[in-house]
Amino acid sequence: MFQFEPVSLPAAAEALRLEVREFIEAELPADYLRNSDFNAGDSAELSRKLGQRGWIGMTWPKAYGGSERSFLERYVVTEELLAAGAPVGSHWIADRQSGPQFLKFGTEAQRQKYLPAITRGECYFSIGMSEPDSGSDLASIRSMATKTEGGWLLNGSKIWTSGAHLNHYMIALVRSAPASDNRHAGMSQVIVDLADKNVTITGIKNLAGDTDFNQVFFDDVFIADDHIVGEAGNGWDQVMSELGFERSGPERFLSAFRVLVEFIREVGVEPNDEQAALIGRLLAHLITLRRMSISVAGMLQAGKMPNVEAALIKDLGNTYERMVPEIIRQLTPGEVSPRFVDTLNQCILHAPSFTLRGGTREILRGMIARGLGLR
Amino acid sequence: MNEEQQLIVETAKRIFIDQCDKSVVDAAEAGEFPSTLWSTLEETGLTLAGVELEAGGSGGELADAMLLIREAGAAAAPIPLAEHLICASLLAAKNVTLPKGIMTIALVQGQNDTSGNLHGKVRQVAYSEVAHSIVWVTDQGFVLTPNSDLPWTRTTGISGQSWASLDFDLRPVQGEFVPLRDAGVLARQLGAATRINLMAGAISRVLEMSVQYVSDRVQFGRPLAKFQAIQHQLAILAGEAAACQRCADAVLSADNPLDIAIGKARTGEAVTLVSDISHQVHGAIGYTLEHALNLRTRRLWQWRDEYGAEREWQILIGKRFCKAGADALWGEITNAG
Repeated sequence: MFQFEPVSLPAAAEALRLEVREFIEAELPADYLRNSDFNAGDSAELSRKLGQRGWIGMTWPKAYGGSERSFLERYVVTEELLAAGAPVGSHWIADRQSGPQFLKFGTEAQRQKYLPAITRGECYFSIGMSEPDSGSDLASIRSMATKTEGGWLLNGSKIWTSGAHLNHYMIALVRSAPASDNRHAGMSQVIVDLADKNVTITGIKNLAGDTDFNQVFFDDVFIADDHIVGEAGNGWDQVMSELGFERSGPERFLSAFRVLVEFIREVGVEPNDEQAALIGRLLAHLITLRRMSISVAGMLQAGKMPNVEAALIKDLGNTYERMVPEIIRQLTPGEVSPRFVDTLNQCILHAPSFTLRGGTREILRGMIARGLGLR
Repeated sequence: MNEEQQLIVETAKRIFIDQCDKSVVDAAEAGEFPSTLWSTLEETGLTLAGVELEAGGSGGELADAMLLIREAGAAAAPIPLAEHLICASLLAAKNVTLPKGIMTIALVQGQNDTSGNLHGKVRQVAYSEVAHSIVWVTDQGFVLTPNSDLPWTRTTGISGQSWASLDFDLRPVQGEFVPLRDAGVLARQLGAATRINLMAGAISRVLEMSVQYVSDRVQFGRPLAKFQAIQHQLAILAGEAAACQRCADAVLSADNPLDIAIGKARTGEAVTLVSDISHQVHGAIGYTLEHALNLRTRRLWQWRDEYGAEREWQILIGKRFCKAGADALWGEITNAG
């Protein structure tokens, strides 16, 4: 029912791949615990270097610091960084969705202000969607921007905000008119300066003990009129379009990749049949997912909006990346290296987030069902 | 798909709708071969699609034949398109004139002696009751013989199709032995590629049938499709179907052993979820012979085992990738395309 036409990567993309691979191998210290989860590590230094190479905002116009390269080339860069287990968290959101959001809906002044800084790897964004009482039911948000002279006063809070304590800005979805019968009306996307004195950021420890995500409180935060993204009142449609960028990329099936690498290191070049079958099974899934994801990059390149296909890949990919540590742990040889144990445990501890972030499994399946004509 | 392939697929769809409804499949399982269906396909040249013109085939690419076979899988067509294609491909590779009529393949566990005669046994030969010729394949060659009066032992597979076995240690298969390098491996790979396409076709039809059924069937005052529990099950099914399509697209030319291994492992594994979910949403009616769902699911349960079940191919993939070592894993994956 859903088509994922085969797409082969152009020669230019393959040449770029080797360049990225070489670069990242030289960058990562030998004792660095590599993790393929895009959210696992931050390094402003690495992000700046990637920016210098033109590997952030790659598909954007040169006028805004981009490289005008194809979605397929961007695909290759992102998958190489993830597969290597590089700390890409700093710039990831700005590159993947905030920048494209400015390109699609932002004013010229906003593009000039933010895009070049993002492409330099110097300007990082957080996503402001979930609130304490609004998770999957995004339309129920209550953070409210009230009109005042020259702008808006924002009150309320956002939660599960990855990197808010490290990033510069947040694009927040807020109410800009009181709730009405049309649940999707009266919302706007606003740019919040995370350094504003009326913004309070409180870390929340995840179950691995890391403080990556936060609750962010807005207490009369002044949002100037020119800090609205797109049109006031159009926030819902904009945010739906933003989620389309978010779902089909390699970060949706590579989060557990380093576990597989370290498992192969443990079993060696001559695994027994049981280990070989397990590795073969996981690779059959992974290679197929990768091909489907490249198909979607091809659709993006062709100017299509493959939202349902992206949801389908994310659901399949998340299911796969949850499965990886669960079945590998049962075939682990008796004595293993601390590096393997750490990689596996990090994956198990973070795995619950894979099927939550960027749209829960349940939301995705609802979207796929709608695509099938069931709702 | 190129234009020619679109035409082949459209033609095949039409022929299967006209001549391969449930009664035809049921009759075949009761022993009545659908000869009209076969001759229609033969007359249109489809039974030899993808086989070189010079060899007596219909020309075109192997992909043409694989796409046709995918449609046959969707229709649960009880005809040996796949077996016939494997035989014709082997014969064409050695410029052996194609015999008239239906061919089927017998993978020999055994050897040829110095005079070329084959000794050994064959198991699970499909369509032995209707084939006019048999291609007996060994590791490094094959023998083409008429299908004459052999003491087959027949059983019925889970799909309702007859399976034949024969031991011929004492009474060898006689004929001209045609050497062909790695014939056995080649035949198994082609066989697996046909199964991947058959499965992808059937799975995509099973998804369509399931969507249709839950949209029509009303319980608790509304269509089943309106229940979230059902919607989510079908979303999973759609994901498996899409992955299988992508696997099948990767083996259309059946020339990459790794893609075939990946496809057989991934598609075979999908059958578990696909049959589970499709039967569950169909309820008790899907568990009857009366409903057409079983024509596909029983065949899926057979095809996933033929030419190597998942584990065999998984081991092959696993060993291949481990050989290069952990740090080369990602490079090997991207090389696989």
